[in-house]
Amino acid sequence: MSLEPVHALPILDIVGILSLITLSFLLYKAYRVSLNKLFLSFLLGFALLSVGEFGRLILFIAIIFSRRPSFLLFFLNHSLALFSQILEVLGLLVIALGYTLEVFGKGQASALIVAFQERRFLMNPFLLGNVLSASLLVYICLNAFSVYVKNKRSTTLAPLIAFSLLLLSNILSVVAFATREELIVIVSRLIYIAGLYVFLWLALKVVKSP
Amino acid sequence: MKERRSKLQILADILEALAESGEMNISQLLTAANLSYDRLTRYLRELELNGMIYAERRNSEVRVRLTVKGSSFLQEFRKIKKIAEAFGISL
Repeated sequence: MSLEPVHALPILDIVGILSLITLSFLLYKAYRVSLNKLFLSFLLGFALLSVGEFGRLILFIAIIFSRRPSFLLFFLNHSLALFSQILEVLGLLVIALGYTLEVFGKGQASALIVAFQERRFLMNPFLLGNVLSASLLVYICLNAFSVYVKNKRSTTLAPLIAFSLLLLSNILSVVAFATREELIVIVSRLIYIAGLYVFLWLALKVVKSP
Repeated sequence: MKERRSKLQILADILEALAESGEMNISQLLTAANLSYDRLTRYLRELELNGMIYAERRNSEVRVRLTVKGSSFLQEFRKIKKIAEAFGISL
């Protein structure tokens, strides 16, 4: 089997997952010292995103290295892909809750949960997952932007850039779903991984601070 | 409006002042940490019990120093502050 540039994507993805794990670990340490529940919310969100991303990585490896369609691929596609999508939505929902709790308090946070429970599952679950993720990411990006406006530093800019890249990737996923264009899927993955790399930069900046 | 400092932030402010000056007496710490005498002594007692500072009585004066444990806690706190700042979490 000849190696193509697309085969490098899983390696880039592994580093992306490592960045989410590092960030989760830093948030865990922050929670342990401060006992601030908001850290727990962000920790849970990033941990869910990393598990979901790991599921996607396995599926991606299985797809690009498989020689022919198989039952295993069918099984992975119908279990892991949905599992990853659900975890991504849950992870983003918990992160969005974290931002809401910090800015508005408990009342608004429960309103956010109700708003998402009210949605009807009428569409394809994958497309619905992408649309839900994108709407949560819009909300998260707006919050990250307000945090950045309040405190203009590179550390506050990093989450804004990272979440914006995840949002762009999600929008491209929806476009790829509609157009069935393979190139858009790859570009979407690359943008998603770039977003994870911004989180890696943030984690390294925190770890290396004196 | 100025935000109220959390207990964790106050403890970190005391440790930060000690890390900058090396050794301080109570009145220097009162100014540096911007606290009342009662609150400062309460926090100093807590820090001493946790092994983060070392208080030495010399004649009528009390000199306070940072311990290795206090110094590593301060380093940890600086990292926590950075990550809290990134996500807009107030400590």
